[in-house]
Amino acid sequence: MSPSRSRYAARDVVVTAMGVVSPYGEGCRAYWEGLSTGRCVLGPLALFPTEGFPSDVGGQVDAATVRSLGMAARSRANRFVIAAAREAIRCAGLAPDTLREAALSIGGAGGGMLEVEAWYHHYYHGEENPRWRGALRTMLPASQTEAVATRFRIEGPRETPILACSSSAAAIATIADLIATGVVDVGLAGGVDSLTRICFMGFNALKLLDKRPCRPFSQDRQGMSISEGAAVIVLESHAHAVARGAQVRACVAGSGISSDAFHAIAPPADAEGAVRAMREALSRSDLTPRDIGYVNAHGTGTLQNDRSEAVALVQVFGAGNVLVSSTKSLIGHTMGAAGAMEAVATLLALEAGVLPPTANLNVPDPDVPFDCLAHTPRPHAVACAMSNSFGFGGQNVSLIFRHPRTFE
Amino acid sequence: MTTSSPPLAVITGIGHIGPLGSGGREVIAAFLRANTTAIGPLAGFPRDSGTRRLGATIPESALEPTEETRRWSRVSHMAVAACRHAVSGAGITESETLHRFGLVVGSEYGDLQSTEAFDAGFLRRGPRGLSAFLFPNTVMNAIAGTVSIALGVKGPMLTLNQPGVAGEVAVARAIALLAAGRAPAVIACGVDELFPVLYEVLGLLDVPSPRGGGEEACTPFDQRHNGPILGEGATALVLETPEHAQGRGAPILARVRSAGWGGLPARPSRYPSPVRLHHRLLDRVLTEAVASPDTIDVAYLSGSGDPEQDTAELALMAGIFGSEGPCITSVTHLVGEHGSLGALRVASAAMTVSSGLIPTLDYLRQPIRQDLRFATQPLSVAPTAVLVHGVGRGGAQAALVVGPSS
Repeated sequence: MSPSRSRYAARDVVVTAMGVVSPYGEGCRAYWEGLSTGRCVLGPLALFPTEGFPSDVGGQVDAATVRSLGMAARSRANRFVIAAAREAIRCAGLAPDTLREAALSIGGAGGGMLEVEAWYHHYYHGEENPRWRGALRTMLPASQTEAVATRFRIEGPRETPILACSSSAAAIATIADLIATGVVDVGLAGGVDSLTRICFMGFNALKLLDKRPCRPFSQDRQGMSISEGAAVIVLESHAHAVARGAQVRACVAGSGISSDAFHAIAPPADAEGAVRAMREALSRSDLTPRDIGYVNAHGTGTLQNDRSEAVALVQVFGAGNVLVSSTKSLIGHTMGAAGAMEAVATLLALEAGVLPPTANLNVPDPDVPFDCLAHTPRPHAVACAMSNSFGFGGQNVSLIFRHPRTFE
Repeated sequence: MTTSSPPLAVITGIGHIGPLGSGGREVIAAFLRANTTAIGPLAGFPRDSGTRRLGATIPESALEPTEETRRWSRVSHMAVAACRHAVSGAGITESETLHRFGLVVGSEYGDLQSTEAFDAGFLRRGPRGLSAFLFPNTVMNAIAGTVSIALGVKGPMLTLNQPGVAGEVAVARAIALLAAGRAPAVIACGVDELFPVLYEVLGLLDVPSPRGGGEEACTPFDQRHNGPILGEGATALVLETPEHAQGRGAPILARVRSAGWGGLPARPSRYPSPVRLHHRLLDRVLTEAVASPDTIDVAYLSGSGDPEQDTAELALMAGIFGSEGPCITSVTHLVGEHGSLGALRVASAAMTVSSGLIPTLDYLRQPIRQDLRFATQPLSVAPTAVLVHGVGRGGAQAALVVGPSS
């Protein structure tokens, strides 16, 4: 740990609560039980017909969990994100006045498109039904942010970042910025995406879906597995958290955001943008690569992405110098929600001193020169951990979290 | 919210493409001066759009494909065009400079046209009809990705989805990136396109004029208002820290004295009710700008012509300024309404403080409030403080105070 930063500053940003809906079920407890035991939930998708497509494998929140969330009149994505926010707000114990002034950022990609697709298919065939038009009002990703704001009466700065698969990581980084610069004292940041036919069809069209559960960092990997879920994190200035007696779960030590300016869907071979994002996060954290004990990788399982991320990790940390795993191998790629869900995975790993494994990693790729924690969770306490999220369009976001015990 | 008073950011470049032209600030100055509307009967919309026929679209000649642009979606092409004009106007020629810039794109609908085309491909031909080329455009950040590649922008890149106030929020977030030290300069761009399916679907939802009958027209703030007339366009601004702009000797067009965004209580997809309005955001933005309400000379409002929105926004203005408030104006009657029009409102405010130009609301016959001042005559002197305010469905709200360069 860097000796220069052993005390909190007032505007340091800390995590005081989290909420999750995942293919393991509702809540952080179910999420951590699944991750910390290395249970892969990927299998055939049942939410919509998959006949005629090369791959039908993915992660899905089961019907019983969805029913238990209530709010049946809402879109699937809205139900996920409201449930995740509810858990986070309840755990944080935020007073209504505090919540009203809080910032809110919910990243996403697909919005309420699942329900709109059903409407559109009828519309396309000339069978438009006015009774189904309500779905159109939840089509935009911003409608999920609006749903959380309305449900919990949040009236601070509100935004819906869309950075493809790094959307919700950016939500965390930018809300942390608003707290660090004194715009607000409290913010909720997270992300949500439900499965959609468009996402399923699109990644099939790009031939980026593995026919088996995804195998990040494995030499025989053949693509990703799409999935769904939501996560919301409560962020506060350290001074605010202390003043109200909140438990500090971790510190958002720093973050990096960069773009590749290279290609619509492919990263550059030298991973230059990802390297800049990781180095910016380190620099803003006042930490060195040696301080980072674990990286929750973007780790999608596609040939190109895993190779590129490995190149970046080697440049930043040196080959073999950090433990790496991909929790996408357990729950799949939750798209716009992935950054926040993996941030929560990283935070829970920091707390528990147990690192979640990379499932299905049978043949480690020699081009990925890191211990990728194959199959089995690893009891290993780390002080600081990084979570990487990259996305189409050349988006790169890296987050660094620091355990509270590293502060005096 | 901080209460310090230095200029948060300076505006050094403006670019625009819309129904009234494409270019730098001279294009905006020209249509503010002429005060003529681009709204008219839409041509080239193949579907039956019911009783509605008006809109404002960009002439296809302004978006002629070239070798570089032929693979871009139309909305991405619009954004790149606006950003290039802004960068050029800011006097930036070195790609090395742009590498360090950030980019924030605000949009309500993004590239929904590509999403519709992608899904229609499946409905026509099954899995074989799916276009791997179109799919990446279904995610809204594809527009920003195209801009970043075209211009070589490698700093933080954010796309913000927001009904109604996407343009203002993009500018405010760009300023927040500057304040956080993420980049020394950020390009903020608001972009939305109008296309046949969107026009038809918004018609099905009874969003545009003539809602509930009456004349189809763009009449914000007037008793006749009955919904917006839809438009499209892209506006980009180069925002820099004052130190960065001065360091490179950039032309400073205006400064943003304060910026904020937040939410007002509202039902989902509805505008805030006037009985539940509060002024917290406006109070904070005015305080941060060190501007008492009586020092704001002009206010650019959303002014879409939606009765709920007009009512809510004017109630806010009356509540904070009273009858001696700023001269209220809008740009919607010139170019039609779209969710990211706020970027053009900020650019227009910059032109107002730099040259005294203001669009006048010549259509206004019977304002819905008699206790407010509306822009019905040109200004005699350039103002020193202009408020830009927007409110969107669901209660999203944004406000900025723009002042002259010195």
